[in-house]
Amino acid sequence: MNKGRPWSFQVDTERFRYAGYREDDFLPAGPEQLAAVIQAAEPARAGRIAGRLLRSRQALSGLIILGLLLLFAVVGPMAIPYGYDQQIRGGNHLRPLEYTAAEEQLLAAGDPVCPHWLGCDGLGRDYLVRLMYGARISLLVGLSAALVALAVGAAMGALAGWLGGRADLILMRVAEVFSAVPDVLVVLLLQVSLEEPLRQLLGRGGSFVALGPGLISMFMAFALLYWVGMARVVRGQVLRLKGQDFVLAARALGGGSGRIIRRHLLPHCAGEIIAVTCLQIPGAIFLESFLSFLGLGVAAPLASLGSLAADGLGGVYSYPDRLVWPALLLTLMILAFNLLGDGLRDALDPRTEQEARP
Amino acid sequence: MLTYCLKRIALAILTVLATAFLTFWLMNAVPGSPFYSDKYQDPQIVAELEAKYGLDQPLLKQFGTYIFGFIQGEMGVSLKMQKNRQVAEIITEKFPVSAGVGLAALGWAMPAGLLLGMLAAWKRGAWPDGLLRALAALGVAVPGFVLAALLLLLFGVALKILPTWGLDSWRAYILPCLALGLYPMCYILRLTRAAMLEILSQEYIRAARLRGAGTGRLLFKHALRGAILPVLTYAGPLAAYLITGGFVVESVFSIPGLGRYFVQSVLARDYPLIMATTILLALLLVALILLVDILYHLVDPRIRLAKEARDE
Amino acid sequence: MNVLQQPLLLEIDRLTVAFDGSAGSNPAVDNVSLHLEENQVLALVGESGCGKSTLAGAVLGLLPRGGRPVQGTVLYREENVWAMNPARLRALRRRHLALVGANGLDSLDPLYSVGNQLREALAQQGNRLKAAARARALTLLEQVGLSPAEELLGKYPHQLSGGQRQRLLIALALAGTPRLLIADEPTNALDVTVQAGVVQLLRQLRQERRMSMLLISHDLASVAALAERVAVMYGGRILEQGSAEEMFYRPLHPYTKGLLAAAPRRAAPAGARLQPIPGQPGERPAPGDSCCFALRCPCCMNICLRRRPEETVAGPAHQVACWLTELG
Repeated sequence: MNKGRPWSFQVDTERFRYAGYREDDFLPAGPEQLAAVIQAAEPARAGRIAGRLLRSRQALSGLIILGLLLLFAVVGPMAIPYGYDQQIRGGNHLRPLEYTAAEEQLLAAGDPVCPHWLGCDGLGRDYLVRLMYGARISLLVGLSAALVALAVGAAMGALAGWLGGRADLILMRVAEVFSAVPDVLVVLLLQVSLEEPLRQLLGRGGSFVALGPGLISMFMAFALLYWVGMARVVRGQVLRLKGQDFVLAARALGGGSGRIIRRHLLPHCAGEIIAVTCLQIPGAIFLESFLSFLGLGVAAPLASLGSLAADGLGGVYSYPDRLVWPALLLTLMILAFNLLGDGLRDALDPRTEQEARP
Repeated sequence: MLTYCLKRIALAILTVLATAFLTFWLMNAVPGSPFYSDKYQDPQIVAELEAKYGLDQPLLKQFGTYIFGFIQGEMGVSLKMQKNRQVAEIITEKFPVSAGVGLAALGWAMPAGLLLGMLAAWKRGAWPDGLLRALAALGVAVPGFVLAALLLLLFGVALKILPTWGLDSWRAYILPCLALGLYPMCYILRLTRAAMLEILSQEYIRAARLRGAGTGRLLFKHALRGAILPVLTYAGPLAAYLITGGFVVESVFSIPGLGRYFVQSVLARDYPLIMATTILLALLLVALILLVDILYHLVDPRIRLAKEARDE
Repeated sequence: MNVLQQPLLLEIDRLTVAFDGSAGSNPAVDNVSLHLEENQVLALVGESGCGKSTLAGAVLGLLPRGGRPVQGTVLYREENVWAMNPARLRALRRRHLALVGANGLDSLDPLYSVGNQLREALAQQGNRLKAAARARALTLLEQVGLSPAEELLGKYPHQLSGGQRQRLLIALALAGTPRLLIADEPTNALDVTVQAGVVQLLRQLRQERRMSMLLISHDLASVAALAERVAVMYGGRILEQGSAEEMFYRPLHPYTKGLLAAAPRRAAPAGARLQPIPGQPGERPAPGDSCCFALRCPCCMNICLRRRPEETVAGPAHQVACWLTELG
């Protein structure tokens, strides 16, 4: 091989033609050729967080289960003509797919009657409809409680992180103390004290009040106690982002603290906030079911999955399915939120992304 | 190290006092009085009773007297639940019951969770991992009383192989411990798995393997030591709650423990009992958190030595 | 290639390593052929991300998650590393092969003391008696120049300096008296003055023990001080390999020339500018069948974009894969 000869354009194309080379092969590559090659090699840009989320099997299954539950709770009651508190005569403890005497007569006469897919409960109310409304209430309760905790927690956390120094220290100590108070105690005390005033308010109506002292005190307990987790997360984020340039720029432009926190910092935490909220909903649902177990949950005739399960517990020896159905739905609901929350948290964690690459 | 411990203990005591005061204030902020219901409707009698038990004094004074007495072992008498019986007595009677069940539950849940979590991490991606993760996800999704009720139904009623009432024999412990420990076990499983995976991806694990370390040594000596830290953080408060009794489990299985009694006392507004139990819980909580903190220092030399260097 | 009577210590033949999920066209190690004899040092030079560490992993039979060799073989003393059973592989790692990593903080367990980790490494060799193991540990520490050895036994990795940690890594690697030491960027995390000490140590150890070394580095100074043969790697492929003298004085590949030109020179006049190679490695993956360096090469020709150059012999101890040499 001739190493010493300088590189030249003089190429004997004859010699190379039969070896599969082309005429212009040994000419320097021009910008168009380079651009063409670069174009062809451009890799697809990695998807955003939403894309990654959907690719996660965990989060996807959580989303699907949740979707089905929402369908069940929201659309379901439209498919069944019975009300959740509608007591059907002769329908006490009706077995699934049986009919009352009155209904049988209607059927014989040729009128359509919607079957009781899961039978009726002790007071003759269609059980499937009650499950659907129960799911609705449970979802609402879970979501609202978590939102309450979110509001308080995000505010406290942002404040602690933003102010820093002694204010931060005090707030964090306060958080520690609050988290050490047993939540059961607070809920029960509040509930016991709210009974009277609520009974008076109930006369004036209002659906929120109809939830009952048990649930209202639960919301208050959430506001008082469950904000700590969210506060810690938001505080961490704020501390991290506080020193970054865009914050400095915003301050230089004359933005007030509140404005900066609201418009710049919190949106950055949106992902984490959603993930933590998602994971707090099961906690709310757990607490609500516990209250129902005590008989202090949602006020009758409204029902939540927790209260339905608690009722089912009473008659479990004779009608075990009255426990199994709400238990199943409850478990699915909590599972869905856990999966979704975990999936969100993983999607947001930059480290899990690195694992996929070599 | 010593100064650190002392500082932490002082902080812990402060936290307990703060919690106690918070509870005290809450109880008194709630309208109504323990004496108002059932028999005593006459406001004058109510006022006399309140004066007798010192409930008409200013709040801080009440609190101070109470704490002073508490330290000396004087926890007052139960006002509603067991009239005029010493609260301290009641607690000493019921606490060991709850503690027994709680410790037994912890005793199986923690090792099981750790080992299964390690297994899931080691067999990552294979079917054991998938199965364990699915089971753990289910385990943390089932509400407590549902689980307890189902266990009762299955083993106590349908199969009739385990006792469901009280704690007479060692067999009677099985169902309550199972019900109490399942959620913690599944949670610890997930924690351990996540922590192990994080550590196993570290370079020093690879380096140790390349020096010829076998899988067993890698998992148990190197990976577990680091992975146990988040589990400890969870286990501290968990132990406190388990020991003071799970209300649900005690109710379903008719166990005369403190958890159930506590809830009942709250509903009945038996102030002395509520206060004593809450303080006990808070004390346990901070003590265990402190213990976990000390264990952290023992496990991770980086924290330990940094502290020492700073204190010197 | 092998004109010696002895079998090659290490022979890598057309090895390709790919990872799950990466596009099939860009394996981390692409058709690499290298060899190493007894008592010889081969340096593997290249920028970050060119696949050097993956290659090292392939030699040791341990690849990151999802990676596997899809083609080719790695033969240690004519035994296929990837066809061994786990016990044999473990024995190989304990006695014959050793790896020294780049970063002591990463490669050492932070929770255990120096003495504990040394004892663990020695225990793999059968030194289980406590007194004997301790004595041996102290000897090792002294051999790598760490003193006072007694004190260091009780310390933890984060309490040592970078240079001390690197020496400790070498000591741990030597615990099993390996025949082949793979040093993956041993001077990467160190200050320049400390680097020289570590390089000197490696040289000395290599001479004393007649050990072969696969030195992976992008620091040409260490390479010049230690290596007898050099291979240049880019984009998972070997672009050029040969004796150290050939590579430093008569480089053929534009990339090699670029690397040598980019190295700062002590003898250069003050104010002289550094000459980097334009672009970033791995910025755009080599599309399909083309030279992997084409897009950054100052001499890129049309054929470079169209076809992959094969490795051709350019001298008695010199091979290169470049279309320029086809021209003559």
